[in-house]
Parts: sequence; C-alpha cells; structure tokens
Amino acid sequence: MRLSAAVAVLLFAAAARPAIAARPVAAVAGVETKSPRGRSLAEMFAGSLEAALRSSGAFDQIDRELLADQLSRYGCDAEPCQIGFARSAGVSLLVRGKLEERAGGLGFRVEAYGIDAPYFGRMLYRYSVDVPAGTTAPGAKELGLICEEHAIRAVAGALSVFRIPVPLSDDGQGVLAVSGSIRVKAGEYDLFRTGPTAPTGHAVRVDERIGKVRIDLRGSVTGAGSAGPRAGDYVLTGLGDDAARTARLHRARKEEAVFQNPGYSDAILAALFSVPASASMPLMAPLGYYRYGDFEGLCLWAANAAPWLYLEASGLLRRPSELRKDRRDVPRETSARYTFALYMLGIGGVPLFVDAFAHRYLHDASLYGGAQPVVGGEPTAVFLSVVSGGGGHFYKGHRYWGYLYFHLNNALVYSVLREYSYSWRYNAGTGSYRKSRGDEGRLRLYLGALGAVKVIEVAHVLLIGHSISAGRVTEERFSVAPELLYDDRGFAPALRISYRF
Amino acid sequence: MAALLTLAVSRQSSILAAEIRVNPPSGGVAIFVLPVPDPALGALSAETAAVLREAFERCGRLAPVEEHRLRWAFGGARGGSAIDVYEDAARRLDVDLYMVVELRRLGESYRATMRSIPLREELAAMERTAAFESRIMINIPQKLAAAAVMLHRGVPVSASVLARLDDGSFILGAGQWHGVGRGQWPVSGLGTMEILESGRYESVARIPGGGPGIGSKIIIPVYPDVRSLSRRYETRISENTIARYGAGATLLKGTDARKRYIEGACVINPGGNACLPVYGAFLATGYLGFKDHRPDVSGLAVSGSVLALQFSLVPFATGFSARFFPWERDGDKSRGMQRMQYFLWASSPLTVSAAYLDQLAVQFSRSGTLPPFFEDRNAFAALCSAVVPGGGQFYKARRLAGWGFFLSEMSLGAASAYYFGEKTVGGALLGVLGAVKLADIAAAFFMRAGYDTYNRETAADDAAPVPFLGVRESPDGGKITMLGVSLHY
Repeated sequence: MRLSAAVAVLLFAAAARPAIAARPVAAVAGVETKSPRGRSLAEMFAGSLEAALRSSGAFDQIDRELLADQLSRYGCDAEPCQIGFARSAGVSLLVRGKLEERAGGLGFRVEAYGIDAPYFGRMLYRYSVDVPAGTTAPGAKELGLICEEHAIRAVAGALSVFRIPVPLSDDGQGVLAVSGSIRVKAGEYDLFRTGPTAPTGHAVRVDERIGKVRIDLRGSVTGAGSAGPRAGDYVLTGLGDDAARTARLHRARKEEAVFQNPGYSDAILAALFSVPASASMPLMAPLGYYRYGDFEGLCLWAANAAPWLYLEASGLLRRPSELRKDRRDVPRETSARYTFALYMLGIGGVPLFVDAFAHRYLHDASLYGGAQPVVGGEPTAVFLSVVSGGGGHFYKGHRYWGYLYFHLNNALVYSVLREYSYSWRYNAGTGSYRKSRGDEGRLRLYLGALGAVKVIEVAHVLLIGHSISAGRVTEERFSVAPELLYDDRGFAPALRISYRF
Repeated sequence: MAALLTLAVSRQSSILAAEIRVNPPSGGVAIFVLPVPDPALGALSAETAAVLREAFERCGRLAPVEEHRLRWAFGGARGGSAIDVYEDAARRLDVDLYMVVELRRLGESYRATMRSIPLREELAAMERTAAFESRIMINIPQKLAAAAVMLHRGVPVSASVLARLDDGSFILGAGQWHGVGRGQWPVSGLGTMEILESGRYESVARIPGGGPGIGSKIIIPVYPDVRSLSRRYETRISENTIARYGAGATLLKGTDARKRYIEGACVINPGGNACLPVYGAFLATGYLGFKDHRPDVSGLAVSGSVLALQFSLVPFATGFSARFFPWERDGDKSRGMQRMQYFLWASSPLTVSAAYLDQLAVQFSRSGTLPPFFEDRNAFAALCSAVVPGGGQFYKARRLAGWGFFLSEMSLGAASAYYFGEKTVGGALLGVLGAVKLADIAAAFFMRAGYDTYNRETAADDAAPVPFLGVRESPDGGKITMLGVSLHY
C-alpha cells in the first residue's frame, strides 16, 4: 500500500471523528509575502500569531512549521485548498496571514476561518493594519514587537467573534450536560440540532435552531423550555475572554515599556507649567507642530484655534479698564471677552499646547521608539481634563475628541462669562458708572451644562486608553454608508450596511 | 491530535495534492506569466502572478488555479506555438478563463502585455488584450491587477447546482467568497432563491417549486464592486510613484522635504523677493535642491507685471497727482481709491507667493520630480488655494488655471475694495469674489495634477468627475436608466 493511501486513511479518520471537538484545534497556515525581504518578517509574524493563539489557552495547535512544510509539499497555498485541508484535519479555526511591504510602509493582514458549524469554512474575521513608514525605519527589535502586538490584537479580535459548538451529552441518569473540556458560562443559550449530513464532498449543512436552554455553573442543562433537548444537540459558546485578557495584558506591558514615568509627578509638573504653557500656546504650538513635522496637526490647529485666538486678542486689545478710563460705556460682550482672554492665557490654551507635543511622543511610543517622557500618566490626563477643554484627550492622543471637547468647553465658558460679566454704562450726569449683570437663569443653565460636560469628559478620558497602537486599522468588518439609489420609480435614499469578508 | 498524527505521518509521504479534498469554487482562472531569462524580470513575474491571483480572489468570481496544478497542466500540454501550449494547458485544467502575461524591459521602462481569453461563452465580455508600461517595476503588477479587476465589471455570480438534498433544497456552488450569504436572493429567470446556510464556497439553497437539476447554472445578479477594488491598486501605483519621484526621494534626500517646502514658501521666498522682486521667486526655488534650474520667463513676466500694476495702478489712475503711499490721502485720492491701494499693497505678498509657486511648478515638471505633500495633494492644493489665489492650481502644475484664478480674484478683490462703500455693488462684488474663491478651492481639490511623470504612471487615476448616462438591463427583464457623476477620490 502506498504511504499516501495510508495517509488518506488517517485523514479520513481525522475527518470522521465527532464533528465537535472536545478541545478545538487551531492552525496558522503561514504568512504570505511577495518579497524575499519580507520573508523573515513574515516568519516572525507567523510565530507571533501562533504564540498569541497558544496564550489564549483555548486551543490545541498544529505545529506551524510542520503544517507549513506539508502545505508547501502539496502545493496547498490557496485558500480553497487550505480550508479543505483544515476540514480534513479536524481544525476548527484556521488563521492565514499576509505581509505587504509597500512604499507607504508595512501592511499586516490576518484572516480567520471557522471550519466547523456555524461557519462551514466561512471567513469570520479580517484584520488589516497599515504601519506607516516613518522618517527612520524601525529596527529588528521594534519590528518584532510590532508583529507581536498585531498578532495579539488580531487573535483577540478573531476570538471575540468565534463561536464553537459544544454538544450536550447524557450522563446516563437522564441529565443532559455540556461535554468536553470547553468552559461554558452559566446562562441561557440557543440550542441547535445538527441537520442532515451533506452529501460526500460537500461541507455545508443546515442546522436547526430548536429553542433555548439554560445551563448552570456545572454545565448541566437546568431549563429547556419548549426546546426538548437531546444528546448530540449543541450550544455555541465563545472563547474570546482569555484572548481579550491577553490583549489587555499586552497593552499594559506596552504602556510600561514605552512610558517613562507615568505617575503623579507628571501631573504636578503639568499643574506647575500649565499657566506658562497656556500663555505661550499661540507661539509654541505651531512651532511644536512644525518642529515635529506634524503638518496635519498644524492645519487643524490653525483652523480650530483661530476663532478663540481672535476672541483672546480682541479681549486683550480692548480692555474694559481702558474704556472706563476714557469714560466710555463697556458692553457686557467686551467685559466677557477680556475675562475670556484671561482664561485663555491662564489655562484655556493648555490643550493645544499639549497636542503639539504629546502627539509626537505618543507616535514614537506607538512604534516602540524608546521610553517617552511626560506622556502616559492617568493623573495628568484627569488633571488636564478637569482644568481645560479636551486637554486629557489630546494628552492621550485622541485629537478629534480633544477638539470636540475643546470647542464645547470654550463655547460654554464664554457663555458663562458673558452672563456673569457686568456691563458698565457711564452716566455723564453723575459722573459714575452703573453696572448690570446678565441673565441669572441662563448663567445657571450654562454652568450646569459646563459641569455636565466636565463630568462626561473626565469619565470619558478615564475610559479610553492612550493612542499607542502601532499603525492604523484600515479594514473594519462592518461599514455603514448613506446611498442614493435610482431605478424606474425614481430616486430612493438608502443606507448601505456592508460586511466585508 | 489526529491532525498532528496525520501530518507527522504524511511528512515523508509522496501524497499528491489532488488527494486532499478541496472545493474549488469554479473552473477558475489560469494565470500564465511567460518565462523570462532576466533574473529581475523573473522576480517581477512571480510578483505579477501573485498580485493577479490576489485580484481575482478579491473579485470573487474566478478562483485562480494553484501553482502546482499549472505545472501539472504544462506537463502534458501540447501545441504548435507558445500560445497554443497555454491554451492546451488551460483546457486540460478546464478553467473558465486564462490569462497570458508577457513582461519585457524596454530601456528604462518595463512593458507588460496581458491577454485574457475566456473559454466559456458567457464570459466572452472578459476577452481583452492590453499593454501597460511603467518606469517603476513594481507598478507593473499593480496595473495588471487593476485591469484584471475591471474585467469583472458586470459579471454576476454564476453558480452550479452541485447536489440535491431530500428536502428539496440543494447544494449551490456559491458562498461567502462570491458575496452571497444567508437570505433571499433574486435569481435570473427563477424568481427568488433562499439561501438557508452558506459556507465559504458552497451554500444550501432552496427555490420554491424545486429549482433546477444537478449541474444547472444559476445566475445571481450580484456584481463585484470593481471601482473600489481597482482603487486599491491605483492607490498602490500612486504610492510607488511618489516614493520614486517625490522630492524627498530625489531632490532632498536625507532631509525633511516638507519642512524645506514650507520654509521656502514662508521665509526664503519673501526674503528673496525683498532683495530682488519677482526674480527672487525663481532664486528661492533653489532652496529645494533643483540642479541647473532655469527661470520660466513667461511666469516671471506675468508676476512682474502684476506686481508693478499693484504699486502703480493708483498713481496711473490719478495721473500721478495722488500721493504714492496708501496711508497718505489727499484730494486726488478718493476713499475708495485709498481702500483699493491698501488692498493692492497688502496683497503684494500673495503675488510673490504665486510667482514662487508658479516657478516651482515649472521646476518640478522639468526635473521630473513631484513636490512635497503630494501624497495628500488634493487637500494640500485646496489649502494652497485658500491662502494664495490659484495656489492649488500652481501646486498641481496647472499654471494657466492658476494665473486665471489669481488674476480673477485679485481683480475682484481690488474692485470690491474700491466699491466697498457702495452697498449694492460692493456686496455683489464680494459675493462674486467669494464664489470664485470657492470655485478655486474646489477646482484645486478635484483637478488632476499636471506632472507628466506622475500621470504617465497613473494613467487610470483620473481625479476629474466624469458624468455618465446609461441604460442597463435589469435582472427582471426591464431597463434601468442611469445618470450620474463618477468621482474618483
């Protein structure tokens, strides 16, 4: 008998075992690259994917090198062949990668396929990230760390959507329980019954959802409703918790590695330097952007800071005291502008000062460019959020959120000041001023709104992490876009929700 | 564990690929790249085949035949000429379509010829012969891939009934890869089909009334989004071209070209013009590293004339009786005239900036390089136009349009300043100026750049909005009339 025939028998044996594994098997079918230069990096990335899957603790794994050897021996490099191979070999989750070296930088792509029900070979997740080429190319150590980061994120993402069928079995006393070594959390689950097996050579079948069952902490079925479960039926459970934990752990490790001293001392420093930073923002922020070649930041700064800088300049140039010296009326608007100018000098300019510098430090941190000073502290982010509009978000690298809070905060502060400020009307008869304040109800309203925005802003800044992901995720699984369709009946507005696969 | 055992045992075996059960989605496409003796072209051949395979994969209609199967087919292929051999191999593989790609080097450039030959009648529209040329080797596969993607325009999903099941449903040879999944789908001539479950390449489907027999073809009018797929390749071509011809890779290697550009515009050019008006704009271009650069006399003449006019218009208009400086007013200088003179003097930095950008457009075109910020050219051009009248057009090397916008906006600005006191006329002029400014910014954003070096490489990368009007067959037999604008961004 030819050895290949023996292997075919073994393959058949692998395929003929129960469709639902006690512990699922995962395989990394290599990382494809087109350039000879990229091979070592692709190998590194494949190793990282394998390690990330292993650290999730959810799978048995096929040795990657052995698998790569076999796939290459059979010339099985295309997707249909690899899915077929995975199915025959009893793999539940197949992961394929691709590394692209482009003029604009590096592109990491990961695709994950579910082989068993409910996927029947479908791609269940795609992760795609572009790491832009900076002015200095990352070294081998940094590239290794970038590979590891994206492998962990890709695996965590894949496992967050991956579902594995866990069958119910009878313990001999008529009690149904989930079988195998897969942990199933207590709760209510949809119950599925395996449909008619597809004819030989075809993998897809229709499994029927027959109702819901409740599973307790020990894995026993305690409530079945109208489902009428029986041995062999299955529920679907996820494996994403461990992978998500690994991803969180990796992120914490990265933060430790790339931030120099993220503690209270930075917050104290920020408090001490906030006034000079705010006062010098109109000059220092553009210089900072320019120094670091952040021209996008410079353009955003110019467009967003202009109206507030105009108010600041106008307040400083037309001071109420000067008008009073000339015995002229002082409109409330003028008083408010002056006070707002003092606010901008004292603290209001801090967020944009922070953005000019933190953005660069965070960029370096994201690509593992050494331990960065000043950035990374949670107390500093909270302090900046409390005292200024969007400062904490800029500090954490979330520029667009930062600008949103910056404008919202400034608009409310200005409104508050406008209602709080006095208008001074000169009475030539008495030679004195009569002062009057704005509407108290509106003042309370604005103060309340400002307080609410502050609470939301601080809570938000505590919830989001520092923007230190290496590269930008370019491909999401879902996208939503408005669309205008035209047919014989005319135009019809539509919303397109697409799922990329 | 069975899998591990399987693989461990099979490691030493001579198992044939065909023994591993796969579900090929269709007859597929065979991609043949003609062998070449040149090692560099050999590497390009391998990359071309890989990129073309990826393009077909992404379109989800014809699965590329694997390398080992191509080799197998060649083993037994017979034919008179080289082309006959490929056709014979394609027929042995029973593919739906085959492509033959020939790569050549012509002096400094590379040339690729691609022939796509369908072997099924229903794919006759995919027959095409095309040639591509590029000075950048890695652009060749991308151009071929973009063309391969465009071949899929209007190609529906054509799937076979693979097996029939007892309950009246059937296995359909189409799945997620083809862009179909669970749900209701229109089927040409058969009403509606319900897909009960789908895999990657197969689905279980049902058609009321039973549906066709095994081997029948079902046409689902779902079409690949060829525009967005080909844009992916066009973006790569653009990136490669900028990486090769961008100022940072050519003129200003080792420095931050973007900073030099900003410094040139904001410091060097104003300084140069303060020392030597107008000609300083040309001299300032030297800061960007051009070798043996020569001034463009026509541009200098226009900018020189405009600058001279800005300082002499009021003296001329008043017969040299009004005082020269704008802040000095006398009886011969009306308030409107004074406002206009202020405007003309104050806008002189814009004139020298326009002169500088105009000279840069000439120098970049002559040197065959691309200016900094070219990767964000549309946004940057709009920004240039927002600051300097016609600046975006100059940035994109559209000099005539640049001077057109510049002169229009400056004239309208001067007239608006003159008539500012008269509400109706002044307001109307300001309105027109605003409209022209918006048109300037929009045109700068959408206008295609005028650099030959770039356009040669990205011939299909058309940024201009293209109107279209057409009639298409609807799946249920009617006609769909289409009127619209295609916008490439």
